[in-house]
Amino acid sequence: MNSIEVVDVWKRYVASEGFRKKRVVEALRGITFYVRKGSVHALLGPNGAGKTTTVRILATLLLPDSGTVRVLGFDVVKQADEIRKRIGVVLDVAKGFYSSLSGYENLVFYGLLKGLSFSDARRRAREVLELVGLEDMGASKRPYHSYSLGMRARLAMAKALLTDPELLLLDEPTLGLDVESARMVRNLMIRLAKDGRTILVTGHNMFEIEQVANYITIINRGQVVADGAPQELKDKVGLIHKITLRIAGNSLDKFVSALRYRLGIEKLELEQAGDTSTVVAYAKARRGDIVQVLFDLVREYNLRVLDLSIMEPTLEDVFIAIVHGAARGA
Amino acid sequence: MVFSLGVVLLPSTISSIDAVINRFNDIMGVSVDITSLILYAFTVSAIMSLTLVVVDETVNTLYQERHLVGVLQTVLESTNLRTYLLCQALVKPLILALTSTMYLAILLPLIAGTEGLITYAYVLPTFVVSGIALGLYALVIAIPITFYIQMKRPWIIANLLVPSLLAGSGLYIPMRLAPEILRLIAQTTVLPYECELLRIMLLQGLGPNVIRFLAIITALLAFYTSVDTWLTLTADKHSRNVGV
Repeated sequence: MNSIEVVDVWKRYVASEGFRKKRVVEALRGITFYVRKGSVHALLGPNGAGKTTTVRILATLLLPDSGTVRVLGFDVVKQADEIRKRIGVVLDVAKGFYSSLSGYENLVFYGLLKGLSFSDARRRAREVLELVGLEDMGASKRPYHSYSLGMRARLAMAKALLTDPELLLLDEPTLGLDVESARMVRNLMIRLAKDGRTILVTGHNMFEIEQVANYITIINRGQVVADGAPQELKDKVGLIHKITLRIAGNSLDKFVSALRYRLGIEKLELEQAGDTSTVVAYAKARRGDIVQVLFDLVREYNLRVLDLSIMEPTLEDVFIAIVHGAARGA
Repeated sequence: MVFSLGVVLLPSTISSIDAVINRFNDIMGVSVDITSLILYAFTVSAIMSLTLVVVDETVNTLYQERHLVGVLQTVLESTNLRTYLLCQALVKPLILALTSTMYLAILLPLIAGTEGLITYAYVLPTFVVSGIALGLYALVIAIPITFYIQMKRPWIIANLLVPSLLAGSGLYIPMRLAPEILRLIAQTTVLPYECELLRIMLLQGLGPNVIRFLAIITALLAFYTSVDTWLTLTADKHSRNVGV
């Protein structure tokens, strides 16, 4: 079952460029993707790709020009109020709260706006402040204007969790945060996902996305250019793996030739030191295939493996390859 | 409060208090004593504070929440713009009307005992209705400023509007004596009718004249409500099309 369904969505803006000069910007150009219930789905893309526009449409803050968007089964155009009740949103971690009110007071206010009773709003405010660690920092009673960026991000997360929503939309929740605060947000996302909540997160930190997301949609210039699980994306892109193999035994030349042939390797370095040899090869193949070929060849030529590492491409490599590939194709 | 008292009674420093009361009675066409005069001065001072807080809060807060503080987007994550604007125009002015005139509940009985308490009891509904009407009126200005017109210093509008409204509404002098341009501006609000209503109620007592002004205030309330409903729906659609 899908928590989010985005089908052929278009969104255009009219950008003003000085007096009487206007330009139509196509923020989304027929974007389609689905977010499965209970998944942590990352929406990636370079600046201006349409990530924030998508999140704002999902949060019912923007209307799509055309296409269908359903969140938790409700239509974003016709049933916006139903969606707002059921989701938690983080759109800008640096602002969005009343500066003279404390974090606790801000949360009680937003809890009331979300439809909680006064006593429930106070109780939930205390609970979520505890959850994000602001209570421990003694910050819940301090005015918002005295908060650091990290504390503001924690408060934004707390606000998103006020009504214990089944779906969280997080637009760059760790942008500009220090290491500790970013880790807290990341761990919180992992914890919430384990509790069965659906999370849609955008961001630029690939290390972070790789840690939390189990499905990724990459968009560029308002279009989906790739989607799948992180490993699927890596496989789809088929980037070159770096194989470092330290072996001992005879028939090394035959082994190297067979390796070149079986994996279609163009670049291979061989270094010999005494009885052992180190082979460094760059193979454009799936990790599973590489392991299988190596296993077969080592047995066939009766070699002893002393050390083996296969460096797979990082998500960052995949992202750059996909986005650049899409840009070249455009 | 001090200003109101001063405007009414300051001339007594260069003449006698009796002369001031007589002069006031001549201008207003009434016959009141010093206690009633002080009650009147304090009561009209509440109109000043009420107008100031309601118009200023409604016009400037909406703009600031969208453009400066940036909380409007966060608010709209939880509720819709229609509800939010309704609160700005109805609930907030209601609260402000009660809080900004609350001092009269203490002051009037202190000055005139039971008579002061009775006076407060029948001017309070007038303040509440006027507060809501002013809130709705201010929203007619606040929505275009906040969502459609790009202005660098929009608070100038409220800063100019409030004194014009107060000066043109005949707060201390009969409306016919106020400058015509200010009178025209003030006549777009309920203020002049509220002032006349209070003047009749405080200086002449409740009578059939009151009905005329109550009818005008009700008609204006209905008009503002219609315009605000249309503006609110339009702004809601506009903000969801272009973003908050």
